[in-house]
Parts: sequence; C-alpha cells; structure tokens
Amino acid sequence: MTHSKKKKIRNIIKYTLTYTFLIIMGVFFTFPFLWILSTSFKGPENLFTWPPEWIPKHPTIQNYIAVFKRIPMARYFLNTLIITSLGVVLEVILASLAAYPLARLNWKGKNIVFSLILLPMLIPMQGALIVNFITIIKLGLYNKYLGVVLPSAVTIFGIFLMRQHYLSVPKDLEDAARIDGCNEFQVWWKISFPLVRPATAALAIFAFTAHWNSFLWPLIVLRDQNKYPLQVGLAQLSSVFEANFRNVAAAVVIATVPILVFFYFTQKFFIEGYKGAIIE
Amino acid sequence: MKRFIVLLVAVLSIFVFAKTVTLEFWTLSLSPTFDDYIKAMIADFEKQNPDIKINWIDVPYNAAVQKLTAAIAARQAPDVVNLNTSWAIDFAAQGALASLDELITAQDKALYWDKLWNSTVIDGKSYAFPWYASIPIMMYNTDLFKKAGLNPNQPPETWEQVLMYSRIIKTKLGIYGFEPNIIALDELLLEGIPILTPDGKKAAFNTPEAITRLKFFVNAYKENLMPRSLGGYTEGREKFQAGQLAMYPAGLTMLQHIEKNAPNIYKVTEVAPYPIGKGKMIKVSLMNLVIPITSPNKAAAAKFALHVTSPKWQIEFSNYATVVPSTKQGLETSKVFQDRVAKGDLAAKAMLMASKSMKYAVDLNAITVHKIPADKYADVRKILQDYWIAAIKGEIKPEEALAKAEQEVNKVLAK
Amino acid sequence: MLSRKVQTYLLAFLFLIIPLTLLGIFTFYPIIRGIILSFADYNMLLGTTKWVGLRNYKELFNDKYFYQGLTNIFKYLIVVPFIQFFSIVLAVTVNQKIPGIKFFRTLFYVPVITGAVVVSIAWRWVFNVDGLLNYVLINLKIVKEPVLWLTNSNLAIYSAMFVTFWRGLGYYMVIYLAGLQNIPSELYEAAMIDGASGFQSFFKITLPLLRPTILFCSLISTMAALKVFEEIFLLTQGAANTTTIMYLIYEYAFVRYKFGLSAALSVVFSGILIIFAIINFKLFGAGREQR
Repeated sequence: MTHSKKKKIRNIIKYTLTYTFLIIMGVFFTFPFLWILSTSFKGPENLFTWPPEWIPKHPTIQNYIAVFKRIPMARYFLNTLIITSLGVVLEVILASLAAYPLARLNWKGKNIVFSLILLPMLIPMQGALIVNFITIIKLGLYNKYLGVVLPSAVTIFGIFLMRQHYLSVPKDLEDAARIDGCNEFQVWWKISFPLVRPATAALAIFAFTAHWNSFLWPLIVLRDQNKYPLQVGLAQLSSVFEANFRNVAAAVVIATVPILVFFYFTQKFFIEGYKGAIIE
Repeated sequence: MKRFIVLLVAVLSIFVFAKTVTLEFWTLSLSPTFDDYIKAMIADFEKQNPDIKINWIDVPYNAAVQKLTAAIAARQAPDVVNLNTSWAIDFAAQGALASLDELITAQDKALYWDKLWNSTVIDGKSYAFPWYASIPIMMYNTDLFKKAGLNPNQPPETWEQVLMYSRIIKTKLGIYGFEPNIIALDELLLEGIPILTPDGKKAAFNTPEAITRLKFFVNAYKENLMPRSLGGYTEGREKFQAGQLAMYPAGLTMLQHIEKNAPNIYKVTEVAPYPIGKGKMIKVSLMNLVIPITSPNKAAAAKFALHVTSPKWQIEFSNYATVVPSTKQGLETSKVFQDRVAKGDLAAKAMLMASKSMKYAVDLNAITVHKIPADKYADVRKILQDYWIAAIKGEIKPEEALAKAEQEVNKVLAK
Repeated sequence: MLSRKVQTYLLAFLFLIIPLTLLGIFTFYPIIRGIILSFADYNMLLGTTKWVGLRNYKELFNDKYFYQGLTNIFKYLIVVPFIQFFSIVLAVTVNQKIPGIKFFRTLFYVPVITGAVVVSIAWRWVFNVDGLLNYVLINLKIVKEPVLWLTNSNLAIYSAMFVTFWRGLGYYMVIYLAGLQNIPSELYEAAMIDGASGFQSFFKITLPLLRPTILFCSLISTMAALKVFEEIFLLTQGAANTTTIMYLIYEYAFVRYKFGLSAALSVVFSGILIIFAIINFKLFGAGREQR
C-alpha cells in the first residue's frame, strides 16, 4: 500500500473513532433533555410509559401554544433578558477590573487583598440570603431589577478566573508597551484586557447561565408577578393539583434554547485564540 | 361653634376611617390554574367591603417558606398567607404569627370542623383558619384487577386485604400491588399508638401494636409487593400512570394529575375509601390561612380570611379543584355535586366520598394530636423515620428498630 | 505624566474600589454577622437574639449527622480527579477544528444548564430500582437482582457523585478550553516535526502549560465537592446516609429554624475548607507566572 493510502485509512479510522466518541458523549450528556424535548411535542398520550417512548405518536405544537396562553411567557422572557444582560455586563466588567491589580500591578498588600477576597468562598453562610434581602430593602432596591443583580455582581469565582488568565499574558508585551510610552491604564486597555478575551468569554457564559436560571433570589426580591423571570414563571405551570407535564416540558425547552444559542455563538471568542494579537 | 367643631370632627373621622386599606394576599401555586376562581372570590369581597382592596400574589410552593421568612424578617410581610399546617405551626412556634382569638367570634370558629381548627392551636391560642383539604383515598386500576381475576367492584377495605390482593396481582401479573407513602410518625398515630407518655418525658411507642404495623411494611417489602425504592406518592403516581401499579392510596388531589397525564389509565380508575386503622382517624392534608404578626391590618385581614374560607366559597372551590371544604357545611349540601356524581364524574364521586368522611379527618401535624413539644418534633420525627425505614429494608429487626428509636427519643426528650 | 508608582496605586485603587465595596456589603457583612450569631439562639423572623455562648457548638459536636456529613464530603473528594481528568480530555478532543464540532461542544454543555427539576426527574429515573441502569445491567446479565442505587446506605452517595460528575464535565471543559488557547499551536507543530506522538504532546506540552488553569479548576472542584448540596437535595434529601455538611447547614436554618446552630456549623466548616485550600495551593503552587 502506498504511503498516502495508508495515511488516508489512518485518517478515516481516526475520524470515525472521534465522531463515534463525540456522538456517544452527546447522547450521554443530553438524554434528559431529549426526553423533555420529546415530551413537549406529545399529545394526549401517556407520558410515563415503560419503556419510554422517544418519538411522539401524534406530534403537536399545542403545548408550546398553551405555555404562551397560560402564563405571560413573552413578558417573563423579556424580564429574564433584562436581568441577565445587566448581570452579565456587571459581572464581567467588575471581575475584569478587580483581577488586574491582583495579578499584574506591583503594590503593597496585593497578596493580602487577594487572600482576603478568596476567603468567603471558604465560609458558606446560609443566613446570607435574608441579611442581603434586608440590605437591598434598606438601599431602596426592593422589587427592582438592580436589587436582583447587585449582590452577585462581584463573584469571587470571576475575579479568580480572570486573575489566572492575566497571569498568563506575556510580561514582555506589557513591558514593551510601557517602553513605547503607554501609561498604566493604556497598558491594561490595549494589551492585557484584549489578551484575556477567552476568559472574559467563559465568564460571560457562566454569568449568563447563572442569571438565566436563577429562581430563588429573584423570587424573594421581586414582588410584582409581572417582573418575574423565566424560572419563576415556569414554576407556575405546576400547581399543587395538576402538573401538565407536557406544558412544563415545552416551557423548559423554550427557557433552555437561548442559553444554548448564546453558548453556540460565543464559542468563537474562547476558541479562536489570540494568535493575531501577538503581532508586535 | 361647638356644634360646628363636632360636625367637622365627625366628617374628618369618616374620611380617616374610610381610607382604603390594601391587603397583600399570598397563595401557594394556585395561579394561573385557578385565576378565575380567586379573582371572582376577591371581587365578591371587594364589592361587600369597598374600603378594602386585595393585592393577590401567587408564590411557588417549594420556595414559599424562604420567601415568607425573608419577607417577615425584612418587615415586608403580607397580611394573609396560605400555608400548610406544618409550616403554619413552625411559623407560629417562632412567634411570627398573630393569634386569631381576639379577631373573630365563637360563631366564626364554629363553622369549621373542631379537629381541623385545633390543628394550629398552640398553648390555647389559635393561629390559622382551615382552608381547603384533601384526604387520601384508594385509587385502583379496574383493568389490572380484572386481568388478575379480582372483582373490580370489591376494592380492599383493610390493609390486610391490600396485602392479599397485592400477592395475587404479583403472582398473576408480575407488577406491584400498591405504593404507600411511608411516614413512620403518621403510621403510629393512625393506629392509635401514643408517641410519648402523658407527661411528655418518655417515649411510649414501643408497643406490640407498633411492631405489628411495622411488620406489615416489612413483609410488603420482603415479598416485593411494593416498590423497594420507597419513592412515596410521587413515584406511586408515575407508576400508576404507567399502568405499573394496581392500587394507589394517595391524596384526592392526585386524581387530576392522573386525568391530565394518563387519560387512558384515568378511564379505568375507580375510587374507594382509604383503609382506616385502629385509631379511627383519617389523615388530612390541610391548607390554612395565617396572619403574620407584622401585619398592620389584622382586623381587615381576619375579615378577608373568613370570606375566603367561608362554606360558600369553599364549596365553590371544589368545582374547580379536587379538594373538600374544611367547614362543617360540606359538599353533600351542594346540588351541583350530586348532579355531577349522577353523571358519572369520577372526581366528583371521590370528593363527595371524601366530604362525607371529614368528621374523622385529623391533621397529624397538629401538636394536639402527636403531643410532641414543638422544638423536639423535627428530631423525634426523623429518628422514628430513620429506624422505621431501616427495619423495612431489612437492615435491622423491627423489635430492635423500635427499641433503638425509643432510646434515642428518650435522649432527645431529656435535653 | 504621573510617575509609574503613582499610576499603579491609582489604577489599583480605581479598579478595586467598587468590587471591594460590593463584596464588603453583600459577602463579608453577612459572614461576620453569621459568625457573631453563631454564639446565639437567633430568631431570624423576629430578629431577637438570646446569647448562649458555646452551646451551639457543643450541640453540633453531639449530632451524629455532623459526623455523617463530614464522612460523606471526604468521600466526595473522589470525584475531583475524575472530573478534572475527563474534562481535560474532553476539552482537548473538542479543541479540534473538525466540522460540526461547535454543535458537539454545545451538547456537552447541556448538563450544566439543565435545571434542577429535570436533573432530579431524569436521574431518579435512571437510578430507580426498576430504572434504566438496572434494566440495562439485568438484560446484559451483569447483575441478577436490581441494585438499590439511591436507597442503599452504602451506594447512594456514589450515585449522587456520578450525577455531580455528569453535571460538572461541561463546566470544566469550558474553562479548560479557554486555558488551551494560551498554548501556541506552533509548539505542537514543532513537536510533530520532531516525531512526537499525540500522547507525548499531551503530557509534555499540554498539561504543563495548563498548570494555572489546573490549579484553578482543582481548587474550585475541591471546594465544590466539599460543599456539595444540590445533588443531595434533589436525589435523596439526605436519606440513605447521604447527608453532607452544606445540606445540614440548610436543614438547620430552613427546616429546624435554628439559625445560630446553622451559623456555628458554617464557622466550623470554614475551618475545614481553609485547610483544604491551603493544601491545594501547596500542591499546585499559587499560579506563578509563566515563562
């Protein structure tokens, strides 16, 4: 066999193995969601049969329509969008700012402040929920979106993640900028910050997910039902008496798809890399 | 001049007292399913009381305790809150609820079944208005009965019969006979077994009757007549809906779930009364209305609560949901219901059956029933549950389980 | 222009002032308050305090569930190396530019965003006595009798661990993907020219250069394992010997209304977490600078 033919066969095997692995993993990770997806299209047939039926016998979209009719889904969607955008912007900006002095700049007390910031991660306190609620009320933020996002606007996780990435930015680049006459702010804005884009993208995804799925805190801070975000609205589909699981399934699909879409399109920010930016 | 001032004061007083009061009213997971009913009930009240406005907020059931706790702690609490009995007792024990005795008359109180009212009485003070109730019934699959050779018109009447039928079903069809919702404390109380001695100092439940009752479950588990995952009423519902369970002893409210999620099974479902134990009590799941102590409008709140829990509006609720009223005037007085049963409405049949048994209904969460001090209740309940389940799973012998539980409960009581 | 030193301090101040203030109000304040209240019988609803000194702590050390919780969280640490290793493998696998890879990456992230309700229904259905797992195992004749995945006191905690594993892989995969971008592809090209195999590149190039990320992830993962709550809450509610410390903290506060006791447990627990954080830093270093 010729060398290139051998290589071709090796490649085919490699691709087959890779895709088989990917598909198996795909099913492993998504099986609950697949069942939910299937249930959301089912008509008046039994849901909890054994073995479970993956393909609906009479597929219908009536569940999706029902969701929009029974609860103000569009309104809840908008609320969630507002809360999430606010939350993501705040979290990413504040973490990117706070992490820089803790990673790069040289000042006294840098390590002490960093250790102090890490500390709360190690002290879980259940009563924080109620104490923060009282604080939010005192700040006049009861029943307001800002009250929902403010307590989680600064996350230790976010600062820690950004700090680790700032540490991997080549110091020579920053020093070169300084020699070129940039002041400290410009060094951050032109060199360090752009180079940690993979981390900011990752943080954005985590912040998006956390806020999109938040349930308990918005429920406590918001009083008006027409300000409720998606997860709270979703809870309204299962009353004590009947949980029409098909409607719940449809609502779960509607609530989940945006995160997946956001994830799909944000990928390129933390995959493409920063090769282009290294040019002197 | 004097007369003018008196007139002026009188007119001003009318304005002061005619000021509109707004009450915040929380319900648990009733929206949007019962929007029409609640809104009609509120509109009726506002018409009769033009100076009171109701602001209705519906709260998801599983986050209610945390939301209410935060609201009371922050002094932003509602005026009337819908809670189940255990939560009402918990909040009352913490001193967070207003006592109702000064706010209502003896006539008002007499509208409700005594046992239900007394569920939330602590140290002689009343803390909640009983609202809608659900009691367990026996739902069974007539199709499976027929296939196993059992007469679908002869449902089991005692637990021994349940076991007997289950053996037949297991042998003939190879599926589970029944799935109970096992709460050790409740099982003891339903058999009339006292938990503590009258002076409340020692455990009193380690009796031959208790062992017999425990052995019932041990045998059911050993012979694999009930699912070994012990998933309670949630799992029972899923299995019954899948046609994998012949008998489903569970609350009335489960019927509507089955109707919606498994219409084929619903068609072949029949209902029978829940088997009664030696204590001659039926366990009731009761919802109540309470008034947080932080409310500035307690009198108006009480007025509204009486309206919501009035016989008229509770009977009306039964037209929307599979529940029964907590008032002595029940569904038997309603012609609408008699008609529905005549037409073959299964839910109506079940509700009427339940309404007739309400005189035996007891809320097992009530301190007056289990007689365990509020601060020891959670611990005693957990100790009993852990050992009960361990014995059922065959991890220890029933006699040993009750003996060990007795020891630990005594330790808790001694603290 | 201001001197470099002044610029540095000014920038540090400006960048840190808002984050630190918010942290102070919403994170540090509740903690300090909690620590103080751990010495009291605190009624959260009415705001009344009754000072009881060390009684909460004594009660804690006499509670058998405290010890059960401790044992379980130490057992839970087993998850950490598995999650980390497999997430790195996943990240490396999906770092390739083959067609459709973006779609697969999204799929792998699904467990992370799957809501609590769905997770609990789905996994209880898998682990049920007559659920999917037993169905497969019995049909493949691997076991004869159904296994009690969620109700056997010895097994239940490991079933919960598997769900944590399932939910965590996508999460760490994303972080490792971001970390992999810092490794220039020229290094791999050079290694290939030198004749190195895939495995060798992985162990000699990838892993060492991922070090800051590995430190970060292993610390987060260790803390998450010790602090596990949701899987227990959703799958077993603490039954079958699966109580964990965080679950106990929640139970003390919101089921038994003993906020002082809950705070005392938080304080004791934080001591344990601090020790583990220090061990973690010593093992992997504090993320010193590269090159």
